[in-house]
Amino acid sequence: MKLGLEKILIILILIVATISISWQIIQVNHNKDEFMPKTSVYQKGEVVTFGKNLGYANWQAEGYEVSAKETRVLLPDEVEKEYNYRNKEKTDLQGFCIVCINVKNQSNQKAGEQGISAGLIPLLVGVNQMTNNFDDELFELLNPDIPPTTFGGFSLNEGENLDVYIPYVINNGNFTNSIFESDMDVLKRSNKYLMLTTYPERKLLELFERGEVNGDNN
Amino acid sequence: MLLKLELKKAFWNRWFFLSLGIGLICSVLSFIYNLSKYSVENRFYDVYGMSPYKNHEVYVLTAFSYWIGGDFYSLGSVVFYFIFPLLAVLAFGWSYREEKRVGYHKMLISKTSRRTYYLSKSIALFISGGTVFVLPQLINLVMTMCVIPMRLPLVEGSMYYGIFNGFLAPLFYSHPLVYVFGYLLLDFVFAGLLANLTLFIAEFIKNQWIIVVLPFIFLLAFEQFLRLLYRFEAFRNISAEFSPLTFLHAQGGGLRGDAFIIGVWLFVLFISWIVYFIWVRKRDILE
Repeated sequence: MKLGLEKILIILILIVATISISWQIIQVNHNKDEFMPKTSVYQKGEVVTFGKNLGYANWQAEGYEVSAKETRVLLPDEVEKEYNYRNKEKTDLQGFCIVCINVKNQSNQKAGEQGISAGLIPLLVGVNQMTNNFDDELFELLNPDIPPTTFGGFSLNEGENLDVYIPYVINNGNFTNSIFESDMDVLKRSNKYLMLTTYPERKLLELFERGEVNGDNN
Repeated sequence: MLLKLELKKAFWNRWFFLSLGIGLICSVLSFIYNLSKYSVENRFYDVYGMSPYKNHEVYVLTAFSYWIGGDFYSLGSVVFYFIFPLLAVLAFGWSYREEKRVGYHKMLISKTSRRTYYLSKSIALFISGGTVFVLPQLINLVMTMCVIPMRLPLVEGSMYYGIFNGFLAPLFYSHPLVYVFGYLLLDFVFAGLLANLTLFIAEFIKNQWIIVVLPFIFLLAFEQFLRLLYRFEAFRNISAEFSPLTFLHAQGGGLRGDAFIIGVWLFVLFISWIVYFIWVRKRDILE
């Protein structure tokens, strides 16, 4: 009888503790998303505005618009053959991911002062991997109309638009999940996005159309 | 019936309480450190400030990077993941040798069966070893979740979390609770299998304290061997973590956990357990 009472008491304490802890966790989490950035994913071809959002590449890009055109995943030999260029600095180089975006200055009136640093736009691979390992020499080769600057920075006159090619360097160890994989395998297999803005709206621009096989359109 | 007895012995002995106590002390130390770190960083990011732009990295302030598994530099966390093999084995790993020494196991085998005895002992070892490793982490997680919100980690904060592309990493950024419990399950299974190694070791070594310390010494020596290996040019590009002292930590540290390597470790431990059972079935208990 005494043992039964003890057991009931222990069970009661456990129930009360569980309810209290659960209640506390609910209270702590009830407004956890209040200041979190709102993620919006835009499809290839859609026009995305920077607005007043913060980002890695666009602290002063209000009035600019971007849309994704074409993404190519190339091996170093293919890049050498096509552009007569070989990156000699990067060790363990596996390839390149060259993203073409169309940038338009819709309403920014401060040309020459405000613009975009294309080399600072992060490339997202899957949900957990991100790079802005940018090749500035190849950027200059691919974008002869843009004067050489750091991190591919440029600005456009109001109403002007330009196709910009952003070359990301892929070296081994950034994306791999398994010792049997290479970064190129992961890059080809995963969804790829450009992270245009980060806060308050986190705008991700998907680089492939739905149904398009990633990395096979090169 | 024998299983119940073995479980009672495993969970009601001073060495189990000592192991669990040390684990809990580490867990509380990590919690206190992370709570103070959170309160400083919370002010830094000004979560409840007036301007929303002050909070643009608020996703860094998440329980998933402040619990012991996400903490890689507080004293509690470092000590806990360093000595876990010792704790997991100390809880009950000494018992089989002790029973062999006094002949108690012969009595139990004669009253039940050899299979029942070894299976009950093995299950008790598995559960006690796993519990000693996982319970302090679980308590730390619950304490952390009671004070720090469970915000969804974003990849932009990977430098803060230290989780890039290792074992289960995509889950961390999509379903972080599943990631955490995935690691707790892995830790439980690994510690349980490690505790079972003592059955095997006890067949060859008579001193129970050497039996308790041996798995820890082996893992420590293996870790040091790896660190020595990485000094050579040929091994510098290795990015996967081979040492359980590191890959069982949800945060991972410098190198990434790899599913294949983790699988090999679990397979080897499991096979050694199976081999032991086959071997012990044919053995004379009077030996």
